[in-house]
Amino acid sequence: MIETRNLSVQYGAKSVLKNINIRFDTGEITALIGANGCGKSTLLRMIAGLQSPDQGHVLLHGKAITQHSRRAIAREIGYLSQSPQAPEGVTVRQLVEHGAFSGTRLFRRPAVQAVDEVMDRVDLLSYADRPFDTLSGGERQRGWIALTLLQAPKILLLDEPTSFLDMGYRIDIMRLVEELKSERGMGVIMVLHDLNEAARFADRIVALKDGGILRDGDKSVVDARLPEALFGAKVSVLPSGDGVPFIKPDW
Amino acid sequence: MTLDNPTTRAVLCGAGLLAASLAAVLLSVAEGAHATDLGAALSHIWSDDGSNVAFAVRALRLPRALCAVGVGAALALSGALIQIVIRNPLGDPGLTGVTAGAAFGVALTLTLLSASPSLLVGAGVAGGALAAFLTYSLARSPAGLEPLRVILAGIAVTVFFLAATSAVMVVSRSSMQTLYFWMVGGFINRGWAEFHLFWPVASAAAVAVFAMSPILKLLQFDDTMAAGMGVSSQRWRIAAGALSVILAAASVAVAGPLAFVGFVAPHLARLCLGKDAAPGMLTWLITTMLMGAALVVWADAATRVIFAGRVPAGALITILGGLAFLTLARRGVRHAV
Amino acid sequence: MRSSASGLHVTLLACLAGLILMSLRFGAVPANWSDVFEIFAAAPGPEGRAILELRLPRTACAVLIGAYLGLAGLVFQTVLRNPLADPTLFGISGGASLAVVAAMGIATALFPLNASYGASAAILPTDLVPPIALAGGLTATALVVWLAWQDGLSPLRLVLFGAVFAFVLNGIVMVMVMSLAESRTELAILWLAGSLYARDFANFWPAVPWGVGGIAVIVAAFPWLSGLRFDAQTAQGMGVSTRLATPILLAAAAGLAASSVSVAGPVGFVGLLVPHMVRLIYGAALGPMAGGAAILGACLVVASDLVGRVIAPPIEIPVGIVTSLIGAPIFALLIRREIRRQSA
Repeated sequence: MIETRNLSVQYGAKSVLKNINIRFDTGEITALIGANGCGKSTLLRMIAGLQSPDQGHVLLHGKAITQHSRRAIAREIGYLSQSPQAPEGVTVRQLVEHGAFSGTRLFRRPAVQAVDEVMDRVDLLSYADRPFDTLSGGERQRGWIALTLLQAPKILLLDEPTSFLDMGYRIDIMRLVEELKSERGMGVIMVLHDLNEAARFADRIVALKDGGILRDGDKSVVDARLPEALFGAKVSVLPSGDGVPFIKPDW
Repeated sequence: MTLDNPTTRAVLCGAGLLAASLAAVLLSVAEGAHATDLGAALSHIWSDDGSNVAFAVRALRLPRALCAVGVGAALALSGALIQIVIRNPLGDPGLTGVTAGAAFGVALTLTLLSASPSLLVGAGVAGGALAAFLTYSLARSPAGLEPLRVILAGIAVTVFFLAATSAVMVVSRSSMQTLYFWMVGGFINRGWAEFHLFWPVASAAAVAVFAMSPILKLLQFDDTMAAGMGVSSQRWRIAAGALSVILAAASVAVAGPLAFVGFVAPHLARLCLGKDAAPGMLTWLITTMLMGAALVVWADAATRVIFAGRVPAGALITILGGLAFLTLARRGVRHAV
Repeated sequence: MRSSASGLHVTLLACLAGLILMSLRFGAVPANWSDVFEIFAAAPGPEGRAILELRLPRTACAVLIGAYLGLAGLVFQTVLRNPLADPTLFGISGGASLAVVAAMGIATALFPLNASYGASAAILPTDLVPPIALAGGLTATALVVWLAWQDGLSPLRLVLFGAVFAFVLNGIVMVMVMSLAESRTELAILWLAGSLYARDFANFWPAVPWGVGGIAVIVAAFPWLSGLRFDAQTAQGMGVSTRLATPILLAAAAGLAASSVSVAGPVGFVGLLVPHMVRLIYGAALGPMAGGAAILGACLVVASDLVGRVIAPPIEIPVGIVTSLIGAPIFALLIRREIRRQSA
């Protein structure tokens, strides 16, 4: 559904992405992994059409993403940045309603039912009228996801959705992502830091290094050599019952 | 009928502010050198009996009060727009350089160029736009527009254009007193001529702002989030900024560089509408305008009554608005500084 | 290093001397160089008298306030470690103006018939103006620092609060000026614009002892000043008592700034620009910089006053407006640099 053709990006003299050709479809969870500054967040923004490439193209449904209107893109792709800030004083419902912009006629209020539905989906319906900034970190993240769900996108892009959350909420968010895939057939592309999280929840793992794609494949991509190649870190792989490798750093 | 219902509350706020503005207009119409009782003053609005009082009411007091109402509403709306565009609750046309730039444009037109007064609004817009551009170029950084930086750059631009305005007025042999009066802003001797220059521009801009309100809602988010939701935010920020400049500049052409109205009115509007839930964008914008109108027309009426017409309304507005700014910036406003 | 610093001092002093001569020579009334030197004669001609009675005192005032403001700016920027610090941006001038105008108002109310006034402070005895200005300036500075304090003083926050506070003070001053008797308003307004118009030695002398006092404090506290160039913890590690040193030095600098306000009203941006120029000329040695700041400040104010007088005679552009026109763009560039530095 989304693909990139010879995508390259430079920041000044520094090359951030080099000649990337990759394709993403609905119905699969992809994890983008790599060291800090390897270009994963940039790639995510390019796919969302938020930044234009220096060379190459991003194609959405076979047509350059720049030829789609902003609103049309938002109906196909939901994007959640790393630490978005809510307008001051909004309630959960008011925040979520903003997601209706791309799908509703201007000046028309979003359908209450649809808003309730996405809030229920992320288990926030009972919090609907609470001020958003009284929520905990994990609840807020679910609120933002509800906002993007109201856009009814086919692919959801999440930039480090679990980075600032503690263990319980991380599992929460990852489970939600899995359910979105299985229930709605959505595609999810996430930038993740934790290799184990990636191996456990993603169907496909794309490892980026120095602006290029180092590995691209299923869970088996995460093996003992990958951390060394990406981060220069020595690790061991522990067997786990369900066939998903578990990485343990050699402290 | 409880205050908890946001719709009821919004309607009550609107009605209250409207009543407050109307009361101040009535006070302004009745108060003055020719003492007039309210009934007589009102009857003079409809019928001219050729008396001095009728002249004072029809040609002096009424247009002046209307100028104050219009300028207050326009400045408030301009401030609300700036706060959205730079995503900072401390936004104010006076603090982003726009007001001072517009003042420079207007002063230049009034004095050295001695151009026709019909150009005043255009000159104000040109000056305001130049100042806005300067502020933007100064505050721009690879990370985007950081709110606090916009305001600091705005202060530098403001100081420069205020000095330039003073210089223009000194060179054109205005008395220091005229200069001082004009630089602080107010409605002394403002009449129908100013009002007729002002209202078409300001109302057109206000209508455009209302039409944009669904998009303004999304501009409250950062650029990437807004884009993710379907808005090309850069472009719309420029559009909203331009409308804000037009509103502020039109106000300056009438009243001189009034400060802080654009900052205070949106905040008070939010307080009126209730702190717990953020109001809808359109409701907030309209309440903000009514609030600005009420504040400025009351400030003008109060300065007329208290200081017997010798002090321009701008002095009072600057003092109270500045104090409000300091209080809010210190305590209530999150993320801002 | 020392010899080169003295060399620079001498060069700058020569510049100042040149500017002073030009300030005496040029102005609304035409005069020749010979008239300028006639002021030393026993019986100067009419031009010489005009120079002696009008231009000499105002030039002296310009030198004085320039030196005060330059030095005050250097101390402010060093102590607050804030390259954007300027007395006029911190409400010192506003506070001093407010105090003086308030005192004028009280004086008019108490002694309505007192007709003896100098042009500067209109109604007040000139001896009283500097201490009143000082009290107002110190109070305002303390208020701004208190307002902006939030786990320390961020440069940008301090500027923002200072600027807004200055707006408020100016609003209050405005109301007071307008409430003064009609005949006084024009004089008060002229003073408020930061003008050296018609300043004489009656304005000059009262400001001298206060300034000398401030300079003496700064000289005495000089080792503290160099310690305060570092962050508070490092300075304390070096043995500087920051809790004591900071307020004392700020008060001394605010005193200098307020004294200059008492002479000419608020003259903006001198205290901001001079330290940066001095840093370019002298490098980073604080001792020579302090001397240089005083000389360079004097140069800047004398030159600005001169420009304001000769640009459109017989109209005078007040010196405060000239310095703001020069200073505001440079202030803008400094803010831009500060932004770059912080985002890097």
